[in-house]
Amino acid sequence: MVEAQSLFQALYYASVISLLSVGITLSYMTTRVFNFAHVRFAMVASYVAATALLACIKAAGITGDYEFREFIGGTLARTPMPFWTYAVVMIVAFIVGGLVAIAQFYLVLKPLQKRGATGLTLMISTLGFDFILVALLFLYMTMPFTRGLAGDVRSLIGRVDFASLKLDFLDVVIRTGTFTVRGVVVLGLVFTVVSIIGLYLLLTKTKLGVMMRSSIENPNLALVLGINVDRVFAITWFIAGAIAGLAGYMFLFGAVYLKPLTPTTPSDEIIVSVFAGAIVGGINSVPGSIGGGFLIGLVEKLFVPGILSPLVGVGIIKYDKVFSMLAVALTLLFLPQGLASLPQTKTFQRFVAKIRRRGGE
Amino acid sequence: MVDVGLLIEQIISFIGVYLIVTLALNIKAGYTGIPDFGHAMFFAVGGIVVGNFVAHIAAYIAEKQGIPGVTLEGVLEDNAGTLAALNEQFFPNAPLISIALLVFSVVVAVVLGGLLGWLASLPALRLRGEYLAILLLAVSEALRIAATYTTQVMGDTPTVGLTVPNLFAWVGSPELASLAATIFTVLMALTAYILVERLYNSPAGRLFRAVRDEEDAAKALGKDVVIVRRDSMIIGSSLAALAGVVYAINPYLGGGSVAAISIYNRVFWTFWPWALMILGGMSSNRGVALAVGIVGIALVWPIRLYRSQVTEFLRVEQLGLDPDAFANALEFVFIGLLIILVLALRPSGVIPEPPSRTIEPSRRV
Repeated sequence: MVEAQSLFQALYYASVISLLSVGITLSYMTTRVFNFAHVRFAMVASYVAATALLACIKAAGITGDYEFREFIGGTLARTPMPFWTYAVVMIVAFIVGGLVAIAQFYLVLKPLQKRGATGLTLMISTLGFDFILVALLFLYMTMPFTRGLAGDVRSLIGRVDFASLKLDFLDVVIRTGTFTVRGVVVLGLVFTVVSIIGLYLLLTKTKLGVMMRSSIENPNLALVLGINVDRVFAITWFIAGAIAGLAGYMFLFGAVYLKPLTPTTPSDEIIVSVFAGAIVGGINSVPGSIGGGFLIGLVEKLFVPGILSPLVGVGIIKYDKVFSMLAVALTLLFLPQGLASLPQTKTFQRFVAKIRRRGGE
Repeated sequence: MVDVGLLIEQIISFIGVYLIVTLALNIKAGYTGIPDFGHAMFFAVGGIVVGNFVAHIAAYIAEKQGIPGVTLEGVLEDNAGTLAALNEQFFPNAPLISIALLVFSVVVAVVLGGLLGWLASLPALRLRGEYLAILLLAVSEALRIAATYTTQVMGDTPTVGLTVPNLFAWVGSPELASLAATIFTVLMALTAYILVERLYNSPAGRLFRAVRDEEDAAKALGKDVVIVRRDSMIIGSSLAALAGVVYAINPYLGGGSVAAISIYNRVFWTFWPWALMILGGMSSNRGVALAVGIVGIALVWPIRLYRSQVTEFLRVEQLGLDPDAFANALEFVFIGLLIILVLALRPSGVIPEPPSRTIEPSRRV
């Protein structure tokens, strides 16, 4: 039986994968490029957000030693933080993620596209941008003003316990057996749902969303109709990056559920799952990528440890990525166009028709 | 003070291995147009052959000879201890076995690499472009994780890695053994270059490029595109596995251990070869050699070797930065900017693809 705790961990992880897959899909739809730097947006956002959190703590006048090590282990765990600090940190992560994405769009992708680069060439260029971001993160970690914060992050692996934070307004304690869910986790899941709904509303109900969709469907026709396609694409990239920033925010607070922060590891380990989520979703569909992200995340963190490992032994947990790749292969075998094509399949339509008939009776 | 001879050997080893691994990628991605982003997994095959298979065979023979501290099971259970005993007591006195094992590891790696390439080519026949690239990347990553945590492959301490058997210990002192390994690297790199260059001008190589440029035309001429792509994957992958063997054996590069987690990763063995290939020019072997040479000699290696001098020169510490992190960052910025600038300024690389030079009639058999 799957415990509530592992269920929440899996959901948290799957949300992160899902948020990042959406961004991969959005950027692929606009510029036809698989962005290798995408997950690094989340890392950048998460580092800047950590700095912002420190600044907030100082601003809130909470006394204590602000050395990061102490800050995590001691001060913060004992001190309920006011709600606005979390809001500020989230907004910072959101904006930083978006800005990095826009920087990539204007500094790297646009100039290359103007010179006629396509497909693989652009994909390689995102690798180059990713390397530069890694470098900037390494530098950022050692800046004088972040040294107390980030310099210690490397030595903090495995000890960051943000999940034990108290969130004064939302310290929901859901008791199932011996397990309690912390507010931060609930908040993370709420964010995912809210941003997915927000994205859906943006794409379907606003003028900007219509412009975005038309620019994606047919850029030339959109140009004729007077839409500034470049700017619309840039906005799409901003949104993709900002959602990645939210995922970075979840990196920061979910260090127990994900891997702890270092400039390279979490994004390097996650990026394959994120790509897999986007591909399973059918790469050209936002809802598909959300579903794909959840599928991959839940296979890795719920199916393998929760269902498979009691049957075959604990050793199997290490192979979680292998099973998520199997899930990709199986899905694409039955749905070559990805999860997005599910509503078009005959079985699904028959199923819907059956439900409708029953509803009509 | 840095030993100049040592520095030259290190640079040569670096260039040698990267030349083989990039040329291998060039066959797949440059000649045939298969976007192989799973290149690192074929490279890792070579490392596993040396670190695991060869060590097992050597331990078996040594156990039969009654060398203390060596057991067959010890290779996986107490890798460091067993391999230390082997490297000190067995290999220095067994030149013939060492050479035989060297040949064995090359042959087995080439065969296994080719086999894995064949398996990986199965999706390559269905998918195109970026999809295939991402799929191969994912497969490579999944396999890397699977290999790392399987104790039969990487032993009980995957993060430490397997110690590499010193197959050149019989030559003499450690310096001489390292020199021999460097010479082996150079020989392998030259062989690989000559083979790949010959392949370029051969009918098979021209067919590869025909499939890349005009698939329909190749089909119309009666060529089986599927088989061509499969062959290209097999050849390129077996060459990558060879590079893995060379890398593992070379004491300047493998560092004496085969650690799947930290060394055989996709950044160094998929992304860097891609960057070097783009830099030199896709399907241009001279370009690749030039790019590997430039990056190896002029920039990367000195940055790594003289990192303290570089950071001192730039007065990093006075600015309040951590010199170590700064040097790391410098390396990443360098390669990242290099990729983007080359793509922007010279999309077809330093030396673009040359025209085919077919074999002269008088030399045909």
